[in-house]
Amino acid sequence: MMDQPTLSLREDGPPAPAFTPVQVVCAMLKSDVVNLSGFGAYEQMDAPAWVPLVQRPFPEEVGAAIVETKGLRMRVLSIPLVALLLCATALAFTVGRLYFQPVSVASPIVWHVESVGLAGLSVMVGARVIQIPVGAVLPSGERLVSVDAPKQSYETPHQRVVLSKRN
Amino acid sequence: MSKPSMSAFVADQHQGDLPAVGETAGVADVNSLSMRLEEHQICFVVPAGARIDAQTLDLPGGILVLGALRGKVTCACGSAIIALGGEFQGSLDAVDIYIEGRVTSKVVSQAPVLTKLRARGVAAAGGGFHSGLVAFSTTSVVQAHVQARAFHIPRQADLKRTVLETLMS
Repeated sequence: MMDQPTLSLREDGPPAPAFTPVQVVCAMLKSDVVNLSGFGAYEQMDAPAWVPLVQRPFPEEVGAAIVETKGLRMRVLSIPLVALLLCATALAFTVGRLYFQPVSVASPIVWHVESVGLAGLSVMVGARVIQIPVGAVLPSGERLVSVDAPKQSYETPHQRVVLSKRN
Repeated sequence: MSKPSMSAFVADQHQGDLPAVGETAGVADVNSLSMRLEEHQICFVVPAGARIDAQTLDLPGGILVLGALRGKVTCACGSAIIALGGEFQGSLDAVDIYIEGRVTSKVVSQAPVLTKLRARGVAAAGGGFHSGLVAFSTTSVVQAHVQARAFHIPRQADLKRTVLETLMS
């Protein structure tokens, strides 16, 4: 227990306080200790130290800066985006044109007349010999009008061809 | 690593050496905490059964709340102790805060305006702070915004929507 406080007066100056506030409290409680319960059985957390656990409001200036940055980014991005769109459109147009354009391919058929018969021509197409009668269509697309076997000649609507033997 | 008892833990607070977080782990073997009023510089008591509505209470030392106290309390030094049966509402600023009783918050239009508890600690001579502890008892019922440099929170403490904030140097 605490000592009983005594009252003392000094002759010079203001009187010193006879009791400290703590002594008053101790006298009032008649004890110099206070017992608290329920402070045992604790477990210490493995949490990082000195980290505020409260969620603070987002700073307004940071929000404004983010909005401004977003606007700037949109402006910076929109120009290349439009250019890219135009390029893509032009490329698609070009590719489409190339794809759907009609292509004229030269006929791969190689042919020549072997001989002139009485009723038609013997024509060599590739490695095969076919007989084309008068009135039929030649591999060139022309129609065979007539043949002259002794003279080894034939006629189409546009030309008359005489075969000659090479030495 | 040895398992510290609660008394050793509190003694460490008084020495100004907060145990590093994660350094100690274990279960205390004592449930009661005996606090010397002189050490905690208790200079004001709200007696049991008393009800005080104070606008502002600026105290030169700590406070022991056995009754009901509402208002803005600032302890220049020492600890604030809300003992079992004691109740506090408002704003409380002290070096350390020990809560065994109730801390309530004012309800304004169905939304609680949280009572603010702040254990600010003491500036150390070599820089930084020591103390600044808020210790909750297993019997405590608290709804508040609590700021401290260290917390002692048992599992049984009733912290209903209490906000805990660690103060930094």
